[in-house]
Amino acid sequence: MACITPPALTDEQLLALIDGAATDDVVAHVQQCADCRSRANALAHRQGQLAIQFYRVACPSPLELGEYHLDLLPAERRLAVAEHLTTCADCEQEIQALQDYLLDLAPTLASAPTSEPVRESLGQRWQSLVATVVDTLSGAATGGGRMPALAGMRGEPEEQLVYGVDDLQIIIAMPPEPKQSRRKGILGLILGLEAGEQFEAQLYQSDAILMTTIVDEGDNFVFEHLMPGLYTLVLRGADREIRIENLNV
Amino acid sequence: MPHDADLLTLPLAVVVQRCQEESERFFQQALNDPRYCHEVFRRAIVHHTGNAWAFVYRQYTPLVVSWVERHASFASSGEDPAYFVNRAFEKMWSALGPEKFANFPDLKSLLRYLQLCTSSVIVDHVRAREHVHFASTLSINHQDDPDLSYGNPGIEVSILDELERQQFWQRIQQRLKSEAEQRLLYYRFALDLMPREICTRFPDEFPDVKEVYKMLQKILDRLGRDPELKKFLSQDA
Repeated sequence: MACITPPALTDEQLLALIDGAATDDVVAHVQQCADCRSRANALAHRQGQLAIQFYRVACPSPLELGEYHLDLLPAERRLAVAEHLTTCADCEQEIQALQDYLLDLAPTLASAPTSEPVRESLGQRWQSLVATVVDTLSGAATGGGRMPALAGMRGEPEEQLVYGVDDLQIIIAMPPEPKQSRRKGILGLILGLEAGEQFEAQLYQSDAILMTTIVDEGDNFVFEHLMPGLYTLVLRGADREIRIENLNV
Repeated sequence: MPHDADLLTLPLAVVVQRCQEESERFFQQALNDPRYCHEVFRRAIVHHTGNAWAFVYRQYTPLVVSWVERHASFASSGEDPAYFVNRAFEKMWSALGPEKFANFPDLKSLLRYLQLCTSSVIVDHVRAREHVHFASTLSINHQDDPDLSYGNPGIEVSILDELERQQFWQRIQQRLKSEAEQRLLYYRFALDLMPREICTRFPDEFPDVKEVYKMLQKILDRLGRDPELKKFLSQDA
């Protein structure tokens, strides 16, 4: 097969034809010439394969674009993405949309619902227990047993409250602080813990958490600089929670 | 409040319980301590603690669902929120390893990253769909009207997977002889710009559209004769 009206069209002319940018005489030629039409189709196929396979092939992934936006990329990639953005309208548009998306939905979370209680999700049986006063000891009468670690170190021995719940006893002392007469501390000792059982002590007032501390290896815990008032003490372990309410400091 | 060092030693059950409580306080717009939730993320990501990750998934799924549903491209995606939620967590899990965790000093930065992962999986979906659509427009074969066939080359829609595409792109670039040819290939095929658009947008590099066609023709001709690429690019393939 040969061109019917030589000279045959050049490949540049045929590429322009494929793009819809050919002159009228080129269009007229191809309509009549099967040879040039066949060459145009072959070129279109080759170009089409490249266009399909290379569609956005050099674009950073959406995640990398986002990491660029959040300034999380290493310097080398940051530069590469920045350079890409100077030429790629698609990515520029995506990153603009992302910017708006993160701005609008930045974690203010005001209306998001929460999940079910995690206690069940971890497959553990959780107990929430309220401890009650079972005894009151004067400072002078407590010398023989285990007592809160710092009790007796600050001034006169204080009255100590013994709370009981389950198999545990919690001894609480509330000594005044030497240089701040209105303020007191809470010294606590948990008796009956199993070996390795760990607890965290939290102090609440009016349902707002004030302080958190770890129960140490001697099973003691300390809160300091407390203004007089009613507090709730919560001792949280891996599988149980013990509450002491209306603790009058 | 505990020192951060104390947080590290708390039992997981205590940390997740506090995270849940603090989250509830946060949702109620009350004062809260976000460090417990950050600590759960840390154990999930840095220590690969399965229960911590399970908690993260449970705790934040409702939030991620809300992010999915509010994404501009979600409604037209044809997918359930759960599809994107699962992929968002998977993406965060695979993208955020222990070595990167130091870049996330607080809960807010972690949640923002999770939000980014949520957006990313939706945009991944959009890109893939647009790619197929783009390929299908090129595959339309106007066999009944040969005059309309140019630019619609009747290609079977067979998109290589991402890794193959990248490898193919590298192979093609190695066949190019100059930086100008590489730039032209990038503009023409990776950015899908027509030669006239290339001249308009990058006049310093490509001032003459005829020269662009000429260079493009040389590239296509060379690639078409390449033994390794010939079969793939040939119309008879």
